Amino acid sequence: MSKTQTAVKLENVSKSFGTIQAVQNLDLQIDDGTVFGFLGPNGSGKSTTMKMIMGLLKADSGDLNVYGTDVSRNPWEVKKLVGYVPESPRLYEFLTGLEYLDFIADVYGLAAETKKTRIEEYLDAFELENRENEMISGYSHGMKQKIAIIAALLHKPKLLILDEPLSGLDPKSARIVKDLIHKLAGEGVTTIMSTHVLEIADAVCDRIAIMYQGSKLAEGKPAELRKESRMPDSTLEEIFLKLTGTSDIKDIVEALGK
Amino acid sequence: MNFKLILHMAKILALSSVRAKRTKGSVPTGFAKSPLVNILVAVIAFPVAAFLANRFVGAFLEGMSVSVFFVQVAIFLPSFMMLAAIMYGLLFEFSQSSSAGSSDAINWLPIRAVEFVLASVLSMIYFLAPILAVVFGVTLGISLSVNMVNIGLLSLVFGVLGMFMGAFLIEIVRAITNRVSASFYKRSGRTTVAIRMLVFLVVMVAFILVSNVNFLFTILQHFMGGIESAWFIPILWPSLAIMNYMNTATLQVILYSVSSLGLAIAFLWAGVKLRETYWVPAPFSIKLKPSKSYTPKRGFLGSLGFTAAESALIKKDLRGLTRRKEMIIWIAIPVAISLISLFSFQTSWETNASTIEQLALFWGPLMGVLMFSFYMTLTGIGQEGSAFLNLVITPLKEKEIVRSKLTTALSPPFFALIVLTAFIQVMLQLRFEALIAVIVALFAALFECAFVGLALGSRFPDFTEVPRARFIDQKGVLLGMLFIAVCIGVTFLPPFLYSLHILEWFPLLAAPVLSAIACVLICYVGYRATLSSLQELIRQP
Repeated sequence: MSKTQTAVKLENVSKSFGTIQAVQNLDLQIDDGTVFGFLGPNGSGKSTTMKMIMGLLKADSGDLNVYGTDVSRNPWEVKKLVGYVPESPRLYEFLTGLEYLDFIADVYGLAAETKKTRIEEYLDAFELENRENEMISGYSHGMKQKIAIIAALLHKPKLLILDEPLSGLDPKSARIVKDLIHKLAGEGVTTIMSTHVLEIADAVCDRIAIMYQGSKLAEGKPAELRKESRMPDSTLEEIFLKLTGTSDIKDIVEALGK
Repeated sequence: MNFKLILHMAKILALSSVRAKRTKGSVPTGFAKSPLVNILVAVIAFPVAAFLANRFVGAFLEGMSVSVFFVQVAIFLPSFMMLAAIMYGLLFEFSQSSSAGSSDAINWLPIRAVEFVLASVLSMIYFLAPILAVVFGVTLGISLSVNMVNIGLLSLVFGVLGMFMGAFLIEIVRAITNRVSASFYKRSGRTTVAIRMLVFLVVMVAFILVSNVNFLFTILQHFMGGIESAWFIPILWPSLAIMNYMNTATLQVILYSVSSLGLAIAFLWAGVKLRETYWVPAPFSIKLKPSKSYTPKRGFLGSLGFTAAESALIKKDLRGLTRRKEMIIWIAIPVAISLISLFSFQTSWETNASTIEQLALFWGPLMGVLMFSFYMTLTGIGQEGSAFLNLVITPLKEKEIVRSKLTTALSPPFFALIVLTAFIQVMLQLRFEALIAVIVALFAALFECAFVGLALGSRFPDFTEVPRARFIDQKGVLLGMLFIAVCIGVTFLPPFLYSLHILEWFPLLAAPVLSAIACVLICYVGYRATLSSLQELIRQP
């Protein structure tokens, strides 16, 4: 039996923006091939943590390792291993979808034949064929999101970091992404994703961390979280609301409805 | 019509420009960032301009009486103000990021078209306030010195009216482009890119001509004899009203005044109606070629020694240069300056002038070439906008970004400079040593523009895209201009001193050597500074 490799390891990581403590003494270990989900309300530190793993933000303290590489010391090596989809797609709108993917493929140094095969495959899978020669400025939000996801997958990354990846996607494309994440996990690709849609986290993620005010409240498989919270028959949403102290929403809704 | 809402909205529209910053989530602090600065500058500039014009205008008018000059200024002030508003508005529209067009909350709020149009006009005039203050101050100051205050005041009134007429015309254009241009783009494909570049080039040349004092005086003098017969040109009606007031033709004054006011109202009405019809901008999409099997191209740039990533960046930037409407300005300005200089070249070329005087006539095209390279690099990092993230998340090295940005900025002007140098040699027939000195100085200046521009562009980038793409912050622009002036001054100094016979005891070939040494040092410092700034940007975007 092969020993499981650690894909991502965070030790005592903290990050603040001015007086706001975005992430506080976070410890995390994600094994190779895991689909790991971050859950938490807005401003809980999910995106900040993912950006620190990616090397986009520098931690104030603590250690971050991606496949044994220290992110702060060698971010360039880490970037070669990672595919990243930001919260909202940031694309060159004056390029066509195809030109953008060609650009990304060249930046990752893909060979011409590989580039052609992968771009055509993904465009076809995400139903973007016949639209690939239009400027991105004319794309809908969902189409831009698809292009951003394809761009993150083109170089076959070992680690995928997806910040709200299904936002804006139609049901079919969302299903494709979910199935793809499962398939890639089978091939040893680790995925870290954040989502507000708890059903998606429940269905896709092997392990989940619930974040609140920069700290990790709980971590485990969905079943373990149910057990730990002593709510074995509850939905993930109920566990989430209980853990984050936001379960008492009835009064708020009533007040807003007045 | 809700006047309180109009004023509030005008303030919001103005603030959206004033506060557009790279750092999100914080309101810029400090007095220099306050929206009141514009008004304060205008309030101070008005009396200062009036005082200076009142005291010193005579000194600048060689052989022309102050009264004659004032009459010309007073008559054409309304037309000038209208053109100033139109040009400013057009520039603003062209610089607006295309991706921002349809995301304005204003499109779905319960606001009447007339309220939006008036608010938009007021916010535009807010930005023109300092220029207006200077122009009005000068007019009033001269009118006091020639004892024609009544004409001065009337000219100011019509100047304000002209400015509003220009602003209303811009609103018409804005409303039309919301919808019509979208359909146009869809049909045109690649041709659109070329047409848009051409249209903007024409607008820019017109703008520079209008801002050029020499050109304006030529036009003024040309028209002075015959403006009476220009009654059929509506935008000249305010000028005709002023001229008839000078001639005490009361009936014509009333006729042209009422007509001018009516024309302004008609422009406003058209602007409002078009805004009602074409309220929400339709996002445009250009399909560049029909879908067919994708074949990756083996790049020409690769064979020149660029890495795949560098080639990809260069191609991306060149595409952006021709496709992004907010980028076309950086091609248009150098081309316009080069074209204008051709007129002065035609009129000023004298075969018996000294070589240095003849060389000076090539300043226009040279400025155009250098400006292209300087602006391309100065805006090179900021033009990435929010998509800068692509450079951060991918395994690009800082050196690759620098090499690609420099190549994009240097390639077109490099070839243009070769042509210019050949032309200089054909015209001036320089001896070998002088030719070497000129070539080294010119190419050294070109490389310095690119390296210094990129150093400042990476230190002071402005990634703002909404409501207007700027690419570089004001401090960066000012410092960039200062640095490049000093650097080029140092590089040109050796051949210039030699031409003044100060370094005559030196062999002439020493001058290009000194220029080249200065260039290498400046470029090296610029390169290191760029790398350092990029490292900082990429680590902490």
